Amino acid sequence: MTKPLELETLDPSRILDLDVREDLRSGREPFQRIMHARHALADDGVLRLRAIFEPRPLYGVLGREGFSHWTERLADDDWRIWFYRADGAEAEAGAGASVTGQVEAVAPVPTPGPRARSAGRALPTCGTPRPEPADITVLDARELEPPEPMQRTLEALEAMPRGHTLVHLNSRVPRFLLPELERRGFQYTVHEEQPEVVRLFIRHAEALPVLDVRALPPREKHPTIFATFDTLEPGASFLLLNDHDPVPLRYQFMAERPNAFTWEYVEQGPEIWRVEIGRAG
Amino acid sequence: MTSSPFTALGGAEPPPLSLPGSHFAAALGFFVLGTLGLALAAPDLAAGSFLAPRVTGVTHLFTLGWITTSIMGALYQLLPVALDRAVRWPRVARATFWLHVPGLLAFVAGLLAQRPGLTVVGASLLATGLLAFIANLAATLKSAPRRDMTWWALALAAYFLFLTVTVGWALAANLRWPYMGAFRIAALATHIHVALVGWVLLVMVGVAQKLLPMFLLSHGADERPGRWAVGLLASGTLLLFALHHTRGAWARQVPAVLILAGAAAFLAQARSFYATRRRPVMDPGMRLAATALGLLGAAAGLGAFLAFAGFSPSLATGYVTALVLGISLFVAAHYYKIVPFLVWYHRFGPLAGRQAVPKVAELYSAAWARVAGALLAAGTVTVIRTALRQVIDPEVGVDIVSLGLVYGVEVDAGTVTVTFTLTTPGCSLRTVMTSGVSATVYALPGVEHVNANLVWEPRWHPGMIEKGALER
Repeated sequence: MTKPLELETLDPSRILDLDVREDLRSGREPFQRIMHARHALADDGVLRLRAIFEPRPLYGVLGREGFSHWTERLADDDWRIWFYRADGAEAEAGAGASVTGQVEAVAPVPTPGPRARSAGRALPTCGTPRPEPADITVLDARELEPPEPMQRTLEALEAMPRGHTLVHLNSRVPRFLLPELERRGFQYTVHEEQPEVVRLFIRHAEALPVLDVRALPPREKHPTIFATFDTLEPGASFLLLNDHDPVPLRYQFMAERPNAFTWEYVEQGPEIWRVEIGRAG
Repeated sequence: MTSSPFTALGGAEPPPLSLPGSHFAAALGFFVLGTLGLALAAPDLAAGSFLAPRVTGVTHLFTLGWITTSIMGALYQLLPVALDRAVRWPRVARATFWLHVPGLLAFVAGLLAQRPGLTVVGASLLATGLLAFIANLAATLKSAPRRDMTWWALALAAYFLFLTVTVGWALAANLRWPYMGAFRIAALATHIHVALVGWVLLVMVGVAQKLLPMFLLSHGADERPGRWAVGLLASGTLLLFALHHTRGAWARQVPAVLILAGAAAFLAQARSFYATRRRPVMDPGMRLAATALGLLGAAAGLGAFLAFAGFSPSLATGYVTALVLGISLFVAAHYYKIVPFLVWYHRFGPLAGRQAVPKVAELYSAAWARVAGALLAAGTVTVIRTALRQVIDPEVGVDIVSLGLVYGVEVDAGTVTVTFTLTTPGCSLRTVMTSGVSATVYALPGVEHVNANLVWEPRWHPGMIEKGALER
């Protein structure tokens, strides 16, 4: 993927740099720093994040707040991710940067969030209203003895409003917690970036349409998937179920629907792969 | 593509309660039977007669009944955490259980009732069950996503369990159809060490590497000693098995050095986990585990003495007793962790967050646990001390030849027959003398078989003592 035009021509004063590599290496939880930086960001600001792995769960979290991302891999353990608002409307209203011609492309998105309304923003000229920022709670379970991590997490989740995310930080994959999360209707991604530091991103399961292609003949798989994708409203997504890692599919998406799709692994094998494929909003 | 930081999540679901639960219940039953049996076998243990069938029976109530059944149940429970994989074939795991438990009961009953036929039937059932268990564990290991230290420890342990079963079944068959002669002693020593060091200790080292930090909250401790422990214990046990036909002190001393170094590395690793723990107050389970590790240290000392300072039946009995009971206590200690967790998980886990649930520590009485732990530790130490008391007996200053107890020695191409008697037919040292004679003669160069032939005709009388023997 080539670098988006608006990032190429970006006024450096709009960039907020945040480097969380040291936090990650020493096992500290950088999520609150990231969200703090995101809230400190000007409306037309771009958050440029450095991390030691590709922080894919963050794409979903910030994506729901209207951020697109562009990712550079500088080294295996050095990633630079640009979070920016793809609609460009904010940018125009702000510093008057040379990002043009994007407003018309923005599709209408459901009802504006209460925050946007109370801020009194002129919706029609602003393009996409930003949804309410996803609230993040971090629960560091590393100093707790089993089964306390599970107990605290379940208690926190039962009290958590829909749409919020709980980051569960552990020194191992909490095997006994996962089935209980599924039973209670939560979805999660497990992120194990180094030994003894595991992050779980837990939120209420959204009733995603599921496309199970395991039983389809191989030559019908990709056409079916693209047909399903093309029916999606922008911002909507579906859950793909497959019996292998659909890497070729992802390349085909990159080639045929560049910048128009989102791709988030929910489960990676060894028997089943679940990928949330969405239409960029 | 870079390796994904996402973890493979499938295939590591915790098992239903019934799988580990049935194993823990059966293991506790065997533990109770074993402690009752300890009273039965106490006279033999005190006399240092480790070959007595009662001792063998009671030992297996601990090693197979308590320790191995507990390990099986705990592995079914913990494999998803330890290997990121659930047990490969849950049905085989259930079938294994129903071969293992009746097999062990028949085996022990055969030994206690002196019915070698029943012993062999029991041993065969046991062997079948254990082989199925090994196959299941091997299949699980094969599908594990990564090969860390715990993986290697469990893989090597599974191999040593296989060797244990092979030698053990051969020993059981020897009871019914004697063919080993005095080689039985060497085979028994191999069986014991491959079982306790190769199987049990390696599982303990491998699983402790995950469990101790989890329960002590000591993350970030140096984990190299644990890796050394696995390497040293495994290579020592392999060498011991490879050399068990070889005579000469070095064939036992070299493996002994490796195993002792491995045990020391494990104890150092455990110490480092305890030292870096973030919760200063230790609960009864972790306290008992520390006591058990101390006992294992003592067993290692006795083992070193045996390997380098010479063989004595009483010392050997004390050593194996310390090893078996030390490991038993370590297993018991983990019951205070694993069982309350299991109960909490299945009973209260689904309720957490929806209503008030008790803490794990509230599911058992800490006061009772402390009393039980202290009693277990005190009883164990007493049993070991009693066994050791016989080691230096003032009367042993006079050897059995000088006492006129040896009637004849015949040598026939590597087979030595020693005909000897004892002072009185009712002598309680019968077994210990027989095994002492066998072991001593077997240690001589060129000896392949020893027949220790105990006779009561002609009857011994004090006039048979060599002149001057008592004056020395």
